[in-house]
Amino acid sequence: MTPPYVMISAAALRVGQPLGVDLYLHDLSTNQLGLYKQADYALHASDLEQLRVEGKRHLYIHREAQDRYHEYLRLLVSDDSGDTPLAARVGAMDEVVRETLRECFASDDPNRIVNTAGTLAQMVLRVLDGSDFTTAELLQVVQHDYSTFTQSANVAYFATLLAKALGLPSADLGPIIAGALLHDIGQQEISDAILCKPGRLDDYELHLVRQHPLNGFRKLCRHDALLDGQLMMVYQHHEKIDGSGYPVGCVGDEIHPWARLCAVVDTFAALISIRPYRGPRTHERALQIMEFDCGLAFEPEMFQCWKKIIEDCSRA
Amino acid sequence: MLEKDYRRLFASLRESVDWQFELPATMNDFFDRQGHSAATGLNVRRSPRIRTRHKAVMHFSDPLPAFPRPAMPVAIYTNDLSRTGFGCICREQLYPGERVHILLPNCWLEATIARGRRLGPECFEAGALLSAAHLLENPGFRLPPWAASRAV
Ligand SMILES: [Fe+2]
Repeated sequence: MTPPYVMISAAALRVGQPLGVDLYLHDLSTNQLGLYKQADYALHASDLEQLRVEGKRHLYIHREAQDRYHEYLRLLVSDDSGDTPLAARVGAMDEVVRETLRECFASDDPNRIVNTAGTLAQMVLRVLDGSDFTTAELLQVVQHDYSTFTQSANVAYFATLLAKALGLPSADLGPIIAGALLHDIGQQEISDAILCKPGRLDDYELHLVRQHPLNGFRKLCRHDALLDGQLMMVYQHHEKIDGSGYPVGCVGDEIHPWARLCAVVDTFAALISIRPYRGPRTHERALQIMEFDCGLAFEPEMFQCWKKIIEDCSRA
Repeated sequence: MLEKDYRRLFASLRESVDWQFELPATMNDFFDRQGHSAATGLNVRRSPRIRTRHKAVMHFSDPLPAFPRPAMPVAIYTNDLSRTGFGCICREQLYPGERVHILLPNCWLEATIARGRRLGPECFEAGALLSAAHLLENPGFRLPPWAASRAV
């Protein structure tokens, strides 16, 4: 049976504007959802501050109110008048990206998937590129659960930051974001029982998981709207520059630069995510782990650039 | 007549393609190893493969939109062959989904690349799924459509 409530991110809530849907909070003492604010209530800044202080990153809405909520999110994302705080726009963008990916990946229709990734990429670009949003703020907004959709969304945001910092042409940003949103599409063919397995994967399960770049590439390779770099992000994001990656074992320049970029941010996003068998790593710990592999797995220049982005953000 | 045309086509293409690529040193005995081949690791194969190691020619009959290929065929070493699949080694990295024609001395095959693996610098192996086999000995034999004009 479908649960009657769906989780939403507190990051997308905006002060001063009624949401139009009832909001519920999870009460830890009773393990029940309780009504938090009614649909016509306009949130105050103190409400959001209270949620933040209490560490409540998620709220719930009734499933039947989902369409109205999505409409609210889309309006929020597209509001570049300056009336909507950037944090709320980014939070709304993140919700829209993850929800839309969830829906369209399930459709298994390559045309729809590619078109949707392109539309979402333009939205991400408008929000992240056209604003003074800081990396620190972005890192606060992103979710840490290890679903394919969250991982794909985070990789897309991080790829935007890294591509900009590396000075890649601005015309490349949209395609790179779309490629990042698509990079794990092959995971759709792996069962949740394997992806969310709490223990170590056995050899056969590992073999299945390692097929996902190949499966993703096969699914999209005949789509003539995709660039070679985008397809390589799907096919080569688990390649390592020393040749020890998969599925082909390519080395150095044989790996497309966009795939090398994807590998850096994909690994970082995976390390800071919550896995069934461990909690999230801190940013510092994630960088330490990656540094150990730098020059073997990642292109040093790209890794150093990413490290600087994160370290500058921690310092700030 | 067709048989003669095909043999002439195959011989001329085999002569004209570039064979300047090297197998890794670990494969020095590549051409000595012929016969039955066991499935390796977790790659489950539907039918048994026979090692058949020869010089052959591959034509990209239907490249992927994002990865254009030359009209001229390329050199390959055949690796193994089964009723449903084909393995080869070549200089180029081949991509899953590419459709190719593989020309052998006595037949040509239509296949779709299924997977690839790097063996060394400018040396990749690929596995392909066969969709059709055109045997010289079959009465309905025809030349590959792109090659008809070359053979005359
Ligand atoms: Fe992946």
